[in-house]
Amino acid sequence: MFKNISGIAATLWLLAAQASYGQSEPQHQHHSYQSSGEDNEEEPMAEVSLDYVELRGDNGGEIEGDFSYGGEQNKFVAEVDYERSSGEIEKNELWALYSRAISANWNFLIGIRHDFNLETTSRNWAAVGITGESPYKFEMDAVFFYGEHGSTAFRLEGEYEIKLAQDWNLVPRIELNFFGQNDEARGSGSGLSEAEVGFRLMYEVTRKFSPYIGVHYEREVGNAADFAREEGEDVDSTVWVLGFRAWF
Amino acid sequence: MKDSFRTDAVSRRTFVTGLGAGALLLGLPHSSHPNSPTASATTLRGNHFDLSIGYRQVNLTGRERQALTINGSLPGPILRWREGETVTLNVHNQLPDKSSLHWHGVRVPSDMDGEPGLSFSGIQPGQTFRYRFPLRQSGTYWYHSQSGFQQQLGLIGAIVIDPISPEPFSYERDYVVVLSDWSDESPQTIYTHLKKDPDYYNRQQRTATDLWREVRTKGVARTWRDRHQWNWKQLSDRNISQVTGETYTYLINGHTPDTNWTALFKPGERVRLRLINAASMTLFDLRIPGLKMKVVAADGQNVEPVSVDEIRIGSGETYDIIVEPESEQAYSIFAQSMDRSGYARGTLTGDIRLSAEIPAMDHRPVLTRQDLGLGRKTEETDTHFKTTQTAHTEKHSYLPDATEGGWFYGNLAAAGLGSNSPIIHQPSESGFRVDHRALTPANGISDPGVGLRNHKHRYNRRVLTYSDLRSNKPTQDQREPQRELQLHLTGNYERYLWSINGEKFRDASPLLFRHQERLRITLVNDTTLPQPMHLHGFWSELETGDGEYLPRKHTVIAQPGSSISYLVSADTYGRWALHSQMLYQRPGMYREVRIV
Ligand SMILES: [Cu+2]
Repeated sequence: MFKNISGIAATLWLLAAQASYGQSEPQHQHHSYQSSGEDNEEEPMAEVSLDYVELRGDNGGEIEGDFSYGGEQNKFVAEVDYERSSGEIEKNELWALYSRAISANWNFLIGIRHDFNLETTSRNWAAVGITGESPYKFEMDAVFFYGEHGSTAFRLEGEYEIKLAQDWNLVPRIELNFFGQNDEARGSGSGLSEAEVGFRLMYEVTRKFSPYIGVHYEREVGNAADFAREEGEDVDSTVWVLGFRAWF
Repeated sequence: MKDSFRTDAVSRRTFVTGLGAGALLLGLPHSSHPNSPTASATTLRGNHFDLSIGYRQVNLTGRERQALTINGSLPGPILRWREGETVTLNVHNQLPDKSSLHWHGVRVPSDMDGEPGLSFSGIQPGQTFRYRFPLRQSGTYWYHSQSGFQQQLGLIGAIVIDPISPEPFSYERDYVVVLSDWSDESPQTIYTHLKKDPDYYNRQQRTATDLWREVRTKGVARTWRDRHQWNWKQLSDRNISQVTGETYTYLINGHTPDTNWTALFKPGERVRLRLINAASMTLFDLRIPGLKMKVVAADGQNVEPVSVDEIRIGSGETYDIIVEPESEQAYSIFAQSMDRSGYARGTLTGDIRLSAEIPAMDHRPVLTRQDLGLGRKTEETDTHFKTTQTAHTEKHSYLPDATEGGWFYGNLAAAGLGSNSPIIHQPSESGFRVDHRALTPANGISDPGVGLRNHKHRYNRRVLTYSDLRSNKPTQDQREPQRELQLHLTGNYERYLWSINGEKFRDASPLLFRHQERLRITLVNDTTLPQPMHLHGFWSELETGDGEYLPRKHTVIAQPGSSISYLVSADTYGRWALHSQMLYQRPGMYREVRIV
């Protein structure tokens, strides 16, 4: 199975590299005498970005953030997504990605996602997707996952920043998770399985640090909702959130 | 007569300023800073100079910071040269990093240009580099480090070259006014902030309140239409300056608005001010409320005098103006940053005890369709600006032949008229480096620039435009351009990547000019920001429509979403640079020009 995943990953990688080669690389030869201009060299840059560090309701929370390192076009990205609600871990993911700028506003992503032992066991996914900003400045991530035993999943995340004042932002956020098949143990159903919607009101203390409050709503949909009902769990929940966003 | 006066003024200034600079460098707080009326950098004269690049603690904002200095002063000493002489400058680098000095606007042999990586390898730590070149021009210029971001830390200074022949105007006082932008943050920190969040210093962004106000006045449909193009392109019409008064303190001759650089005059005297924008990232709008400014030179070269109320000075540009204060009152020299996030201020006064009121800053500009490169089709609402380019295109029924790389041959518009070539975006402009292309760029030659287009109407001020500039001497090289090079200034604002034709310097071939050829360079600014572009080694003869008297410049503002053309006589062999003067865009928006 792992051979399978790495094979697909390698193919996609090559496709991406070739697709972007034509438009982004200069059409002519690099001249050796241009090794001059050392003052004009771009150095790789590292960034840590904590997008959501928050408490949710009485017994929940989320940490979502990433570390990236790289140059203008190619970056290595390590991403963490940890989510807890009603005392149970919902997400415990560590990602390792290669990100490549493919157009003015979009990056192509490829890599792996590791889910640390949830109720059942750890598992790996191959991940491929895009991240960027659509016209009208909607920030979007769309990632497709291919996991063990042929399981598939798709995650769509969107975020928008409404500037109320120079240092006040209202940030609506949506996340949709789709699965290729039912997975009763995990509580995920085929098709749209869960939806999350949130609104956060952020205050920029500095450009790099914004505490916020907000409200978060999530709901199991379709088969996932049925599984939840069978378990006697709530299908949806609305909680207050309190947290901060930071980067450096 | 005027010469003796001038010498007098200069020597007095030389004497007092040492004091001013010394106090500054000792890090005294503003309050105890002696407000010496003629404080400025020292003036060094002659033809042999020893300059030492070092660092000192300074205190400009209440916090101790390390600045880079030349002979211990910030900005560096005024270098006063004389046309026709050969100057020798021994520049000693005391920094732990490589350094360099570039003589901005001075036409020197290529290996004396001080451009690291092109004309020499830079000055190593502890080493001395000897610059030696003849002076074949006169006027106001400046010098700065061209290594890394050293310019931001203070490695700047004025150059005054006195002419051999008498000047076509006279004056009794002569002052250098160096505008610059100082930050307590290190330049590397500023650059990193821009890379990670290009809006880091922008506190004038669109908000929901604006939207509400706009919807109430214009209605939903019109608001939507006006915003659509910006929103669709993920660009902002409030993106005026990238680094702003959020971090910058704007200086005149190293003085903050509080320490108020002051110059003296006697009523009735004509005062020459040599305005130099040595800022790293700031375009200034300068005026002296109460006084008409007579512009007598641009970028060191004399022009037919033109009286204006306000001048936008792009970084790298210089203007010489003459003002004639009649009474013993005080006037503010007021230079607001283009985005109105701050100002530099000095005082011109007949009485040392007086200082003038500091005017309120003007309205904050908002970008228009024209800045988006949609300037040629529709009626101009915000401007009374003529699209001269359209007229040219009509006159010439057939267009020049384009070949690869933006070169055009044959059927070129006559010298002075500017380009009649079609706008051709190169295939390299479609990658991740380029977020926008100007579709129908207006001609920028008579555009006063972002935020100034309605100043006549709004404040009854006449703002200088490039089309006001007319050389006081006939154009030396009267040949028609043989070739035309169309270069597109490109960038991706969100990724903070800058380029020319979508290619960054490292990946691009040098631009090859033939020795002695006369050619036209047309800059098409595909970004929504003004780009002051500096060409080393040659004059850029602005095509203002009058081919007989083309004004000569070394730095040309390409207005956002607009095009502008100038003629070049490629008369000096060597390797030269053509780059944006905006410091943090320079690494990408940079080309080598090679004369073969
Ligand atoms: Cu273009």
